[in-house]
Amino acid sequence: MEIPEYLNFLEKNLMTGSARWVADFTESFRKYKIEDKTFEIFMRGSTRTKQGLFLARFFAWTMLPNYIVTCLATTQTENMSKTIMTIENFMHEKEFHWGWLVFVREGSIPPSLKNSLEGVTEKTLGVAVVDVTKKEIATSKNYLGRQMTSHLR
Amino acid sequence: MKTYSRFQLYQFLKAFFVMFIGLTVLLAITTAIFHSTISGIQILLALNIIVSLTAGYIYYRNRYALSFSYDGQGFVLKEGKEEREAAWSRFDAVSLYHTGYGDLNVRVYQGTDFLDIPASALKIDASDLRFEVMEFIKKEGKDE
Repeated sequence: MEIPEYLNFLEKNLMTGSARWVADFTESFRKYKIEDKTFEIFMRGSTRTKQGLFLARFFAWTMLPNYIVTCLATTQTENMSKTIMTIENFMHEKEFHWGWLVFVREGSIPPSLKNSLEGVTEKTLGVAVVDVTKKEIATSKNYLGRQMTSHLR
Repeated sequence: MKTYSRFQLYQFLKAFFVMFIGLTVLLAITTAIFHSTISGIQILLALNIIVSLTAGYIYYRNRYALSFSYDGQGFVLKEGKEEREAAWSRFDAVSLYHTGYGDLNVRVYQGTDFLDIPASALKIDASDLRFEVMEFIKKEGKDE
């Protein structure tokens, strides 16, 4: 699989696939600029789904928290910690409750990138690196990071 | 200009049942008012269906029928009698919007205002159309 194909797959899976059980990502932008960086995908949604019949909606309205969430994907894997900081600021500014950040690359994931993932301490941001050629996925160790694995492949 | 127009069975059935139920209720009220009994119920039912189909189709054409035409400069979106025509240069961003049940719209933004192009209802690949519109907006923006 190549990067453009993987990005299409990721977008579709988050909007209409398995990730709907985690959050309802309703809107997706491509080539989205945040500060000096261009992200291949920027998605936003919420954890309270607005789909389904009366009972499903009533359940969602009464039981599920209404968290505004985001998912961003980029192919720029250099300066990972700076990108993470940019996203943390962006989330704070736009009042997102939590987010996923996906670094997409072709080629195996070097140990330096894996080490960078270890350094992610922010609880509201899950970070993952995906090698599209081998479908290898490395994620941050926080809860949101661990949750990402099944939705990225 | 490329033109897409699809018959939407779900919307047509909705229009048909609205008419059918309306006519049935009207018939029941008329019968109750004049204290009469209905004779030839099969003929009345057949007539009711024929009238509902015709009226439902007219209602569908005027209210729901979708048609979308576009080229590199702009587009025309018709929904029933309502027609929206705009140049791509008016818009500054485009997104893919999930309306539920797997249906996707292409949403074009003019500042905070937006307009939805119902790609799935028109059986257009929403992702492909989105990329095409992104190119149009970029190109039009550069020309200005």
